[in-house]
Amino acid sequence: MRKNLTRWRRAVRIGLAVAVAATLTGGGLAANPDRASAVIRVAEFVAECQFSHRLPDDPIVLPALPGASHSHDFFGNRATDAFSTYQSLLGATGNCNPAPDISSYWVPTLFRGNTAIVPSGITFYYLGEVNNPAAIRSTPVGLKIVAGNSRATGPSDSIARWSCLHHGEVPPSKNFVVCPAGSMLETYLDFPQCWNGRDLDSADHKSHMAYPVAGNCPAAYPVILSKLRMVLRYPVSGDTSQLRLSSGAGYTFHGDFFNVWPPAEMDRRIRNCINVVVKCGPNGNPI
Amino acid sequence: MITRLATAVLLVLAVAACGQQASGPGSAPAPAPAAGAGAGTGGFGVTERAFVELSIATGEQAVRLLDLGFQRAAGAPLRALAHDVAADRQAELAELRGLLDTERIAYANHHAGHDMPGMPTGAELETLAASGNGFDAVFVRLLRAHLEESTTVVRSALGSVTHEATRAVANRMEQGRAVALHRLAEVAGTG
Repeated sequence: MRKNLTRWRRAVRIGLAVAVAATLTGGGLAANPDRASAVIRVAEFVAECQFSHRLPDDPIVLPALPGASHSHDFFGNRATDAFSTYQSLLGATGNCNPAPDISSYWVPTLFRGNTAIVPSGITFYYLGEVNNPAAIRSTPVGLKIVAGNSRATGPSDSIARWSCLHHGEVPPSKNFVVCPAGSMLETYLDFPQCWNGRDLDSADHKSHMAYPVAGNCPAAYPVILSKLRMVLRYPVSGDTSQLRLSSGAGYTFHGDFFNVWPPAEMDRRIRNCINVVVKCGPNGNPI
Repeated sequence: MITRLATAVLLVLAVAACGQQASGPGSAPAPAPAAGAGAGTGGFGVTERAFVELSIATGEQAVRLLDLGFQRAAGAPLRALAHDVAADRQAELAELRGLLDTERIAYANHHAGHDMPGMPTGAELETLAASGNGFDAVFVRLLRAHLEESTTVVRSALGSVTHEATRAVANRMEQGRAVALHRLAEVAGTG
C-alpha cells in the first residue's frame, strides 16, 4: 500500500513535469510524443482484492439454494451468499482496493488432495482491448457475468489459461502447469464484454453477453463494456497430480462477477482510463 | 514552484476532461433490475429450475453409485438397499424431468464432473470400483454422503422454492432420504 502510493506519487510528479513542459512548448496532449510517454497507453484500471470467504453457494447459478453448489472462493464483497441480490450486496462492504468497489467475484475452490488452497494474489483488470475503446461504456450496476466453461470436458472447449508467475518459459496451458520451486501457479480468465443492452442475466447466465469478434461486438450485443480479466495467483508450485478444482480439472476454471461498482466510480474510470486509453491504478488515476 | 504550476496545468486538463464528459459516451443505459432470486412468486422460477437441474445431475450420478453397489456389494441387505434406493432415484428422476417438460425447458447438465454436494464424483466411483475387499465399507460411506448431503440441498430448496409441484417432489425427496438413511444405519450396523 505504502509502496504503491510512493510509486504513484513519483509517477504523478513525472507526469506533471512532462505536462508542464508540453504546455510551455505549446504541445498538445495528444500530438506531443513526449507527453504521450508520460502516461502508459493501455486502457486499464484495476481492483486489487482479497480472499473473503468460502461457501458451497452460487447466487447466479443456484440462487437461494445455500449449500447446493460446489465450493467457491469469494472475493470483494463480504456478504456474498446464495441469497445475494444487487440490493443486498449494496448494503455490505468489500475488501478491494479501491474500497468503493464492493462487487462480488468468485471462482471454484482449488484443492491439493483435500486441502483447499487460498489464492494469494487477486487482481481484477478492467481493460479496453477492442477496436474502439472510446465507445466503451460503464458496466451497468447489477450485471452478472460468467466466464469460462465449468462443464468443459477437455482443453478443446475451455478458455482457461494456467501459467507460472515470472516463468514465461513454462508454456501456458488450459490445464494446471508444473511451476518451478519459488514460482506461483497463476490463472487468467477473460470475461465477455459485449452486452445485449437489455438483460442483467439470462437463463443460461451467458447469452446476454458475448465476446468481441476481431475487436468488434456482434450486432446483437451492441453495448461495449470494459473487459474484466481475473488474474489469480496460488501459492502452488511443482507436482500438479493432486490438484483439482471443485468443478474438476484445470480446464473447468470459471469465474463469476456481480457488478456492484458505484456508478460514479465506474464512470470516472471508463472516462479517464478506458475511453482515452490510459493505464490507471486502483484509485482510477493514471499511473 | 513547479508543483504549483503543474497543479494549474492539471486543473486545466481536468476541466478539459470534464468538458469531454458531457459529449463522451457516458455510462450505459440503466436497465430495470432483474427479477430477484426467483423465490416467492409461486411460479417455476430460477431457483426451482436450478434445484431441478442440479437434482437430475446428482440423481444420475447416484444411480451409477447405486448400480455399482447392487452389482458388487457382498452383503445381501446392502445390495437390497442399493436396489431400492436406485429405484427411488429413477422414479425421482422421472418426476424431476417431468417438471422441466411441463415448463418446456430442455434439460442441460450444468454440473457434470463437479464436486457437488450429494453427487458422487467420477473419482469416487473409480475408487469404489477399485476397492476390492473394502467395497462394502466404501459403498456405505459414499451412499451415506450422498443421502446426507443431498438432504441438505433438498432442505435448502424447501426453504426457498414456492412452486407447488416442485415443493411436492422436494418433500418426497426429503422423506425418501430419511427412510434410506434409517435403513442404511440398520444395514451398516449389522455389518
